[in-house]
Amino acid sequence: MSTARHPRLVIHALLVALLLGAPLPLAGQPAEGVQAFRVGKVITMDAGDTVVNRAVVLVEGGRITAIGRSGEVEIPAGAAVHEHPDLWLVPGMVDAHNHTGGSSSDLHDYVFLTNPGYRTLESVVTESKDIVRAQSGGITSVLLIPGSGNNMSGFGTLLRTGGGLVEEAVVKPYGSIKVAQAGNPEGYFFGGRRTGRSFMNYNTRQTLVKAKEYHDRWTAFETGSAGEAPAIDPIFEGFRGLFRREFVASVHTQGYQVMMTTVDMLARKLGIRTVLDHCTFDGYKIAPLVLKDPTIRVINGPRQLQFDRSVRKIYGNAARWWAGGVRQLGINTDAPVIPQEELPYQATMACYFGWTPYEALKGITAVPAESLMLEEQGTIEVGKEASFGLWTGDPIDPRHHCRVTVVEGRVVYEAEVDRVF
Amino acid sequence: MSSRRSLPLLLLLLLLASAAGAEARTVPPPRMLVIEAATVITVSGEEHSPGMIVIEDGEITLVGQNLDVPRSARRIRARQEVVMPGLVIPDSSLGIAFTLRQGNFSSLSILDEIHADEFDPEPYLVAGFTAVGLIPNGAGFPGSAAVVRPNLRDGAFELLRDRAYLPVSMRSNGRDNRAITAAFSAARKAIEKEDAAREKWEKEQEEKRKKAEEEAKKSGGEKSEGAKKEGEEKKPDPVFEPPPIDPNLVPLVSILREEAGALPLLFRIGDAGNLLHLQRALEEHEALGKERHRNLHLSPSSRSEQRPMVAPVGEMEALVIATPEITTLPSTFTRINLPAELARAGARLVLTPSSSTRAEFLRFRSRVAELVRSGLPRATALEAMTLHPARFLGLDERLGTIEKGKSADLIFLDGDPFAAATRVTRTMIAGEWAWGGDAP
Amino acid sequence: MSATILLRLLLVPCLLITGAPSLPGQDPGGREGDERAVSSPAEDGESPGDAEVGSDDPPPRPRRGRRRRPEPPAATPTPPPPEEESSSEEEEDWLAVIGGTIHTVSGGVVERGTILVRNGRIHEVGVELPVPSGARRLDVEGHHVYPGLVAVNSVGIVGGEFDTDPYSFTMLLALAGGVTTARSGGSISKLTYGTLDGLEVGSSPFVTLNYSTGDPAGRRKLREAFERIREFRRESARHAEAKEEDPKLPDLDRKWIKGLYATAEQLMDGKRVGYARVRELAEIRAICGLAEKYGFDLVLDGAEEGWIEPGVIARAGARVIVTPRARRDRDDRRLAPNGSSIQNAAILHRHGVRFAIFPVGSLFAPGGGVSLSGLAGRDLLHLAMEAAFAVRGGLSDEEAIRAITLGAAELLRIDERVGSIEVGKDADLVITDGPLLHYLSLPQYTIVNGRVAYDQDEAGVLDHVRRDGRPEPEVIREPWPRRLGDPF
Repeated sequence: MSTARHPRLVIHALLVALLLGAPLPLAGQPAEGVQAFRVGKVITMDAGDTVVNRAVVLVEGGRITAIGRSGEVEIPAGAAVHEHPDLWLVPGMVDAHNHTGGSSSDLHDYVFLTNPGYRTLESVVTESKDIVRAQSGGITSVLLIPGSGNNMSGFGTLLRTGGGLVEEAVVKPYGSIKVAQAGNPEGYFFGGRRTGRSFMNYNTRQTLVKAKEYHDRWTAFETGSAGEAPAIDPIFEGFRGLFRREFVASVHTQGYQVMMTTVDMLARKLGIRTVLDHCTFDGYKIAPLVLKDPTIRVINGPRQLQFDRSVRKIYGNAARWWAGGVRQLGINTDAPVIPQEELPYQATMACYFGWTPYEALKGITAVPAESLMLEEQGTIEVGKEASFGLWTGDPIDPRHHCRVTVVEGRVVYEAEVDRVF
Repeated sequence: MSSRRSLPLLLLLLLLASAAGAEARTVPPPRMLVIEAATVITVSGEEHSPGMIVIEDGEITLVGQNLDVPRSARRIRARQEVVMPGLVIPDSSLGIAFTLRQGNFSSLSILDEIHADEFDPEPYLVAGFTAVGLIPNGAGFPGSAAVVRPNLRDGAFELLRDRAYLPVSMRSNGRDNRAITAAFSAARKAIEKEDAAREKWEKEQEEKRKKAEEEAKKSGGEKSEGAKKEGEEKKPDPVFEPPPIDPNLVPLVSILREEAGALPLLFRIGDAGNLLHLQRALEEHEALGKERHRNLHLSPSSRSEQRPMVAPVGEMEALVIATPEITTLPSTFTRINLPAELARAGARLVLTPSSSTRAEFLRFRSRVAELVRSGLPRATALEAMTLHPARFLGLDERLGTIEKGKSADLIFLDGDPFAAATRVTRTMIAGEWAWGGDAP
Repeated sequence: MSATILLRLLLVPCLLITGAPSLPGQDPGGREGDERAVSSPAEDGESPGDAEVGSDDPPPRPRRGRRRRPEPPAATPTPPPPEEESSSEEEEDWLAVIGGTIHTVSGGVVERGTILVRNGRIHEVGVELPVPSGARRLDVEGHHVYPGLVAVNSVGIVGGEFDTDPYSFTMLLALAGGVTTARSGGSISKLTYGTLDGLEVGSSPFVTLNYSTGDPAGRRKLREAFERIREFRRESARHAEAKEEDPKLPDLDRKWIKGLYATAEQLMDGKRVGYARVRELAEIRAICGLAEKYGFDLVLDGAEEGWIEPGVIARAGARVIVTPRARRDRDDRRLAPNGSSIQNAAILHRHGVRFAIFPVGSLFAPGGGVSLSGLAGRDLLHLAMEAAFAVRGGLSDEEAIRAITLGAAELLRIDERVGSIEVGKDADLVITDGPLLHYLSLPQYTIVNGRVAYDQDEAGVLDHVRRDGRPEPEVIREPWPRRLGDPF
C-alpha cells in the first residue's frame, strides 16, 4: 500500500480509526473482517420489494452476508459494529450517465465523427472532488461516458466511487459503448446544426456494421468454421463484448423520431443490448416500441419536466414513460449538467411531476444497476456487493441526507467527519 | 319710346327668354340610375333577391323589389350579380412610409405625409373598398388619420374627412403607458395653466372695472358723462388671450375638454395586459372613458393572452377593429375565433385586412368568410366590413349601407360575398363607376 | 364608463385563467364526469379524519378543496354578520378560507382554521369563525395554508407597475410555485395575475455596494464617503445645538452630498439597506466590518462562506440571502476552512443571523426566473424545495418556511404587509395539498390581495398531476418519517 500516493485518505482513515478503534481498512480493497450495520430500516429493492425495520446487515469481504431483524441476525464476536439505529440502509445509487468520474478536460476527444476505439478508462480519476460529491449523495457507482459532441465517442467505464487504484475501482472497463444518435453531433464539423441525420446515421451504422463484421469473422474462426485467424484490429476488438451482449450501448437519444432510429438500428437490426439515455421531449411516444424488446432500458434525464405546447401543460418525463407502460425506468443526472450528488433530487423532481416515490428510488438503484448489467449492485441481498448508503430518511426527500456511504464494505464517506452535501 | 324702336328690343327679350326657356328645356331631368341585381345586400335590413336600387345624383333614393321606375331612367343590368355597400377600411397604411417615429405628434395629419400622386387607388377598388381610412405609422401618438375615397379618374383620391381619429399605441407596456400618461398629464396641465391664466385675467379685468367706476364716481358724474358722449371711441371689450399651447397638445386638450370637434381616440393594443395598462393610464381622466373613445385596434396574436379581454371589452361595448384571423390560445393547439367571441360578448366589431397590401385586400373577404364558417354571424360580418367602420370614421350618414339618403357607393360581386370564388366585378362610387363597368 | 366599475369587473374571479378551453363542446379529458365532494363543516356528518380505530385501511386521502359560488348555503342558517359591517356591506369584499391547517409563521399553527379576508386584508384568523353572508368561500379542508412566498429577487416575472405584463405565463408559473411577492431590480411587486390593482408594493430598499477585494480604490472611496458623512453628522449635531441659541445661524452646506456621499448618508440614516454580493470570508469580513463601524443595515447576497465565521455577520446585524445548494469547492491546499456548505443556513441561524432563501438556478436559467427548459427544481417554481435543502443542512422545517416568507419580507422591509398570516396584513396565501416542504405537495390555490390569482384546476398547467389524490406507496405501508428519531 503506497501511503505516499494517498496521504489525505490515510490521514482521514487514521482519524476514523482513532475515533472508532476499528481495524484500518486498506483503501481500494474490500474490507477484512466482519462488519455489522445496525440500522433503522433496510430497503432491499429485491424481487419482493422487501423492507426490513430495525435490521442488522452483516458484511464480510466486501459482500453482504446476512440481512435480518435485529434480534434474528447473530452478530459474530469480534465484528465491527456500526450503530445507526435511526438511519435507513438504501442500496448504493447508480448513475448511468456521468461525465465527472474522470478528468473533465479529457471528457471528450473530438477526433472523428465516430471514435470506435476510445475508452474513458484512460481518463478515469478515482479520487476527486466530484467523486467525493458523488459519495456524499449516496452514489456508489457511475458509468463514466464520453460526451455527445460526436456520434460515437468511445467506451464508457463502469466504476465505483470508492477511490483507490483504477483497477480496484473499475467494475467493467467496457461498461458501455457511448452512442449519440442525434441532438448534439450535428455541430461536429462546422458548428451549429450543420450535419444532418442522413449522414450521421449512415456513419454510425457503418461503424457498427464494420465492428459486427469483425466480431463475426472472429467468431467464425473461434468456432472453427473459418480457416485463418483474422487480423486483430484494436479499434474493433472492444466491440466483441458488445455483440456478445456482455455490455450495453448507452445512447444519447431523445425525441420521437430519433429514439425510433435508435431502437431500430441498434436493438433490432444489430442485436445490441440498448440503454436509452435522456429520452426527453416527445420520446415517450415510442414506449410501445420499447416494450416489444424486454432488454431495452429507459434511463431518463436530466430534463425531468416537459412543457407540452399543444395543451399547455407541464408533464413529468418519467411519469409519461411510466404511463406508457415502461416499468424498468431509471433516472440519470448527466453530471455535471446536474451535479452528481443530486441524483436523488432528480428522482424528487420526477415524483413532483407525477411519478411515485418507491419506483423513483428503484429508478436510481436497482434499475440502472440491472440496465448496465451491474449484477453486484443495486439491491441489498445476500451475496451482493456491500455498496450502500445510510440515510436519515426518505432519500427522495431533499430534507434528508446521506450520513455514511459504504463501497465494497469500506466506509468511504462519513458526514460526521466531513459533511459535503 | 316709339313702338318701332322697342320691337327689336322686345324681340331680343323674347329671344333671350326663349333661349332661357330653351336652356331650361335642354338641361336634362335629374339623372336617375336604376340597378337591377340578383341580390341586394342592404346591411341595414333585409337582403332583396332579386333587388333594385334607384339612385339620383349619386344618392340612393329607393331600395326594394319590383319598383316602378320611369323609362327614362338609365338602367344597369346586374341580374347575375350581388350588390352590397362598398367596403370601408378604417386603418390602411398602404403606400405610407414606415417610420420609427415615437412620441406625441398629435398635431400632424396623415395628409402631411401622403400626397394624392403617391396614393394608388387601384388595390382598394379592385378589392371593393370604397372608403379608405389612412393611418400614420409609429409608436406613441403618430398623428391623426384621414378618410379618402379612392378615385381612378380625377386625382387619386377625394378627401372625405381630414382628422377623422387619433390613433394611440399601447402595445409595449412600460414605454406606451408612460407615454400616454405623460401626454394627457401635459394636456391637463396646459388646461389648468390656461384656466389659471383666465382667472387671473378676469380678476384683473374686474379690478380695472372697479377702479374705473371708482374714478368715475370721484371725478363727478356729469363731466365723465359728457366726456363719454363726445364720441370718445368706445374701446372694444378686451378679450382673453390664452397662453400658447404646444400644438401637439391641442388635440388632447380638446379631447379632455370634451369639445364638439374633439377627435375620437383609437387605442392600438396587442393583448389583455396592454388593455389593463391602458385602462390604468386613462382612469384619472373622466373624458377618456366615454363611449366615443372606446375604440380598440387589436393585432392578432397566438402568442400573447388576448382572450381575457373579451369579457371586459364586451361589457364596455367597445368598438374593436380586428383582423379576420383564427388564432390559437397561447401554447396550445386550441383555436379561437376571437372576433366572433368579441362580437358575441357585446363589442361592436370592425374587420380590417390582415395587412395593408394588395394581396391582403383581395383576400379580405375570403378570410372573413372563414370567420363566418367558424361561428361569426353573417350579419355581424357584413356590418363589420361596412357600417361599423363607416360609423367609426364618422361617415355613417352617407356610407355603410344601402338605404335611402346614403351615397351610392356600391360594389358588384359575381356571387355571394362569402363564397369561395366570388370576385368584385365593378365598383361604383357616388353613382359613377369607379372601377369596372364603364369606368375609364 | 367609470373607472370603478371597470376595476370591479376585473375583480370578478371568473376573468382569471384561460388555459383550459371552455368553448362549448370541449371536454378536456374526462373532467365532466368527476363529481368532487364539496365539503362544509356544517353540512357533513363525517370528516375525512374519522378513520375507525384499529382499521387496516390506510387513512383516507385528503379531499381536494372546491371553490363555491358566492351564494349563501340554503341548508345551514347563515350566522349573523359581525356588528361592524351593518352599514356598508355593499362596498366590502369578503373571502373566507375555511378548514385548512394554517401555518401563520408568526404565531404557530391553527388546525382546521378559518381565515377571513376583508377587502384584500386579513381580517381575522381563528377556528369556526362566522362567515359574513355574500362572502366568497374557499373550502380547503385537508389542505395546508401558508403565507404567500416572497422572492427576494426575480427575473422576467414582474417589473413594477409600468412594465409588468399581468397575463405573463411566467407569472402564472411562479404563482403555481406559491410565490406571491417578488423584487425585480428596484421595485417590489405582487404577482397579481389578471389585474394591475394592488400590483405595486413599493421600491426596493437596496443600494448596491461594491466592496470587492479586486477594487482597492473603490473600497477606499467608499470608506472615505462613510467617514466624511459620519463627521458631517457630528457637525450637524453640534450645529443644531448652536442654532438653538442663535437661530440666525446659516445652515450647513449640503451641496457636496451627492453620489457616493448621498448613498452613505442614506445608509447611515437607515433609509436604505446596503446590498452586497459576496462569496468569500474575506469579503464578508470586510463589508460586515464596514457595516458595524458605520452602523448601517446590510444584506449579503450569497455569503457562501458565511458559515465559517457567522459571528462576523451576526455582530454587524447583517441579513443574508442564502442559497443552500450554492457550490464553491473547497480548496484543500489552504489550511483554513473554506468553500460552501449545505449547512450554511443552519449555522447562521444558530448564531442569530437572519436570512432569506433563494434558489440555485441551473445551466439554462437563473435561480430568480421560471424556466421550462427541463432542468427542474432549481428556480422559483421550486422555491420551497430550495428551502427543503436548508432543512437538509440542519435547519428546522419552520425556520426554513420562515426564510421564504417572513424572513424574506423582513429583508425587503415589506414585513408590515406580507410574510405571515396575521390580522392586518395582506391576504397573500398559498394553499397546498400537503406540507409545503414535502416534494409531493402542489399548490392548489395561490391568493394575492385576497383574490385567487392561481387556481390549479383552472390554470390547467399542473392539474393532471396526482389527480385522484396522493399516490399510495405500493410496498412501504408505514408512513415515511420525516425527521431523525421519528418512531418506525
